[in-house]
Amino acid sequence: MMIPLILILAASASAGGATDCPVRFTDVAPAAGLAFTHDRGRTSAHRMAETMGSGLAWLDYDNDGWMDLYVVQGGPFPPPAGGSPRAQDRLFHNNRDGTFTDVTAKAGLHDVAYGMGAYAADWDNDGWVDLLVTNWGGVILYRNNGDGTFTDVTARSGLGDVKGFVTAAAWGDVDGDGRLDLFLGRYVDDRNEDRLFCGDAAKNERDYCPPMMYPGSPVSLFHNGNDGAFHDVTRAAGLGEAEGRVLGAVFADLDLDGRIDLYVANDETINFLFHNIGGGRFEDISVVSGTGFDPQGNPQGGMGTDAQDLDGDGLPDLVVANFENETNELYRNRGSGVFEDVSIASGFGPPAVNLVGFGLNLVDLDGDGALDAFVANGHTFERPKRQGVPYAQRNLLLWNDGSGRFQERPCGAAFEKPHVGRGSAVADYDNDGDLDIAVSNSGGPLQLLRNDGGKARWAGVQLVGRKSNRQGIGARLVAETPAGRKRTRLVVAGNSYLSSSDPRVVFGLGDENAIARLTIYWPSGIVQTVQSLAAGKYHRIEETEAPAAKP
Amino acid sequence: MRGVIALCLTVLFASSTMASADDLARAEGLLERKDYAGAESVLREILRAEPRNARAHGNLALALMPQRKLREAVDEGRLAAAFEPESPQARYIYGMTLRAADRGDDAQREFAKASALAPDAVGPLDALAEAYAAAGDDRAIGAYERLVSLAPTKSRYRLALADSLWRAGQAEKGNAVAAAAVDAFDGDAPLRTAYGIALFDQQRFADAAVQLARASELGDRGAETLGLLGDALWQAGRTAEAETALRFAVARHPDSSALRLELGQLLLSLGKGAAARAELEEAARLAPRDAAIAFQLGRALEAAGAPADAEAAYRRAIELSPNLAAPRYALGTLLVRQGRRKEGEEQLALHHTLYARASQRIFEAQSSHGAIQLAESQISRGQAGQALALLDGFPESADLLRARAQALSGLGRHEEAVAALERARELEPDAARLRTLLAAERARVAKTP
Repeated sequence: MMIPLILILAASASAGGATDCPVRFTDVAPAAGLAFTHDRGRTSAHRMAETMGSGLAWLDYDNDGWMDLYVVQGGPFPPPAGGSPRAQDRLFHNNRDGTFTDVTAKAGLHDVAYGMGAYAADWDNDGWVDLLVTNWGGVILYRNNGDGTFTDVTARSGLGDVKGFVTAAAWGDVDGDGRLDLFLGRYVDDRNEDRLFCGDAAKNERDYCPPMMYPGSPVSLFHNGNDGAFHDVTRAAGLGEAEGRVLGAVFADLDLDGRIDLYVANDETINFLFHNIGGGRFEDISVVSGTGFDPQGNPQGGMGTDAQDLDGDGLPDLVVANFENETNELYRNRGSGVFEDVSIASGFGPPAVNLVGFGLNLVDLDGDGALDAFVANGHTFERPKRQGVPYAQRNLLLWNDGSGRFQERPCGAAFEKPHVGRGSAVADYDNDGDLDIAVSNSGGPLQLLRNDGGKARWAGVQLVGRKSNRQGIGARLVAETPAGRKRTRLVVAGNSYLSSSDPRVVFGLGDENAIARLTIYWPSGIVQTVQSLAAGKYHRIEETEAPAAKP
Repeated sequence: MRGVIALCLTVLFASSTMASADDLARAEGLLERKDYAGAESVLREILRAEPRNARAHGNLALALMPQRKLREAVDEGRLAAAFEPESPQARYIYGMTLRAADRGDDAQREFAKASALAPDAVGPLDALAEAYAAAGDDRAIGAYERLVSLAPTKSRYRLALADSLWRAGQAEKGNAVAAAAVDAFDGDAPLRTAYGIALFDQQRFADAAVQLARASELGDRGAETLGLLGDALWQAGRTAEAETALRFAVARHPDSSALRLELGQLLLSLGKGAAARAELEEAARLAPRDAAIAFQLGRALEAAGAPADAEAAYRRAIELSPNLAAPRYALGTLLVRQGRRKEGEEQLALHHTLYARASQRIFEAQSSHGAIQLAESQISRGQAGQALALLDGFPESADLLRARAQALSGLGRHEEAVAALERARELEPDAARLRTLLAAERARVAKTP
């Protein structure tokens, strides 16, 4: 007797099941005083910029040892000349008790342009973290005055002429001179957007247009001179031919040659991998590295990106969050600038197929020493065509078993409620050693997902560069536990989607009680070893060529 | 044809009384028995005696069509319609001869006349609806709505109505008609299958799976239906069910390389490299000249840890289809990972060239599409001049020329519109909608003083 197909299908549908989340998260944004709702400036014209959402940056702007939060606002679109009060970004000061206070006005921050991303870094090496904000139309560079206020130094720093649909940025010392240089990516060239129509022309009902309907845009690299200004070195650096639709970027020394390389995620366009060959120059190895496309050689809808060692081999791997009907990509570093796409085999990619990924952070959320992945999801179209794919989507948590194999696990109510997720950034905002996540939602409220788990032990590291840049951005840290487990971490400023995270490094130690030995590969080339870092606290480590000392 | 002839013979021509009733009945009997040459002989005999007998001309047209004597059939149809211009049957037969002679616009005109003369006759209206549908003319919707009301027990008309609505971009209305039809004709497997395919095309994969599974239950176990069911489940994210469905399909159709390819790709996406390899090796045995199968087999072999075999499979795919980009990329990256960088870079350079070309084509097509849609929107709001200006500077395509012609027509520049449409037809000679638009525009030129 033939069994009806419908019964066979029903039986196969019941297979499988989810396992519990190692930790729990609670959205504490409202209770913490983070009153912020993103305004995407939706119009009947359905301009591309309205779909972008925005990012955020964790930064300790007052050096009190507690991470503060800068959140980028959209506002009306097209933005009126001179900006709009609706577009005012916000700086929230950490009150050290789990709450925040809006100090935007007090801090002298006045960005009222249609905002995209925020990238914190101490670019002038004065010990006070500064801030770059990317906007539709340009950027704003703020210098931290060291007294709780900022000064807009965009024009005098040489960034006043930056134009275009500026999205992702990243800070990194490209030429090893101890100063942070700046990469800027742009999305599409939308100057002729009023010559396009998407949607139902007969009914005159507009929808958003796909990115490939627009020309791509050039990227920019600015060298941080010793004159307090940035100088456009795009062409000299070998990036002059790159035309992308940039949404994510990260600097990381991928081949461990002591020079930071640059990975750029593009929407529906080949991703870029620029190998730093020294002297401030790059070679384009996007194709030959195997990181430009999916395994079938197709470009994907790349959004957020990050770089860290996921399988414990000491080599930084690359990840990209992609559009729906695509996996998120995990490119495993095989050394010498060669990568293998292991998105399927690692389990990293498949859970994302019916989601549109934006923010993406590699972070050890359960303190077991392995970097897990957080993905903020949300569609760009208000009425997605694909059945079962909503506009607002759940976020993803993928748990790493330590070997680079991932599994999704449901993690409580904070991950069940759908949002139109965009930028995401990680910080230990309550200094309890487990890492929390801030998420900016397009047209929706800010989330602060407090990590409520964690019986695992941890040890934190805050780098202070001397020959290298002040925050040690670009450094590689290799921690060895008493049991001989090795963990590698990179310090980056600019990753995920339009965001930057807590620059401190937290090592999850599981049930071990210390880091036996920490080796720091500074951007300056100095290799520094520190012995015996106790669990349960942050260790401030200054760059030195002297023999290792206990901090 | 038999049904059509029977339909035509059911209603007498007014002129039939003038002919020898016995001879005409004999000719019609021969037509029914498909003795077209015999019928032709009898009818020519009748017409020698009664050259203005419309019924005989009409029947002769029907006898000539199956013998592929199309020019003569059209002449006879025209004479039937000329001698009895108010006869719906004569118009209908004339329309059929024109349709057989590939003169769709003229056929549509005659079917419209026939249908107007006999509004409750199903045959002419059916032909008219088909003609509208073939021309991409939204009037098919009204015609099929009328057919559904005239013949409510025929599921075919409901499906055709739904199809017309889908084609007109009225997906929800089309789905409502199809949903009502599958409820009314619960045991109609082809109806379920057609509805399932439409839902699949609308990316409503879960709903498509329901209809296709039901079609399968009702007996449609064809490879295409079962394969689409598997694909719908896969696209809906129900991968375990998709695997079950595709394994079921392969068991039913073990010689279908397409089904094995689909199953192999699904298994690859699930990380089941060894199982994928088995399916794709069998697919490659069944279709040794299919480049897509060779490529996917290469991926499965890589996933299963057999890089040398994977390399051979990729090379085979390239040999079968040198312009296929994917195997060049897969081969190139495989070689680079194996340390054969120079060889790999050669393949990757070729891939990159193909990618760059494709990327440029996509950009040009999409940006042009966006402009065309804006122009259409402007034309519909009476802004033909703006639309015409907008379309300047985009690469020539049939769609662009069509929009340009519509803008020109809106400005009263009909001769230029005709020229644009003629050029569009050169680019896409089979586009029925262009043919319809061109005919309409030529008519406007003819009316212009």
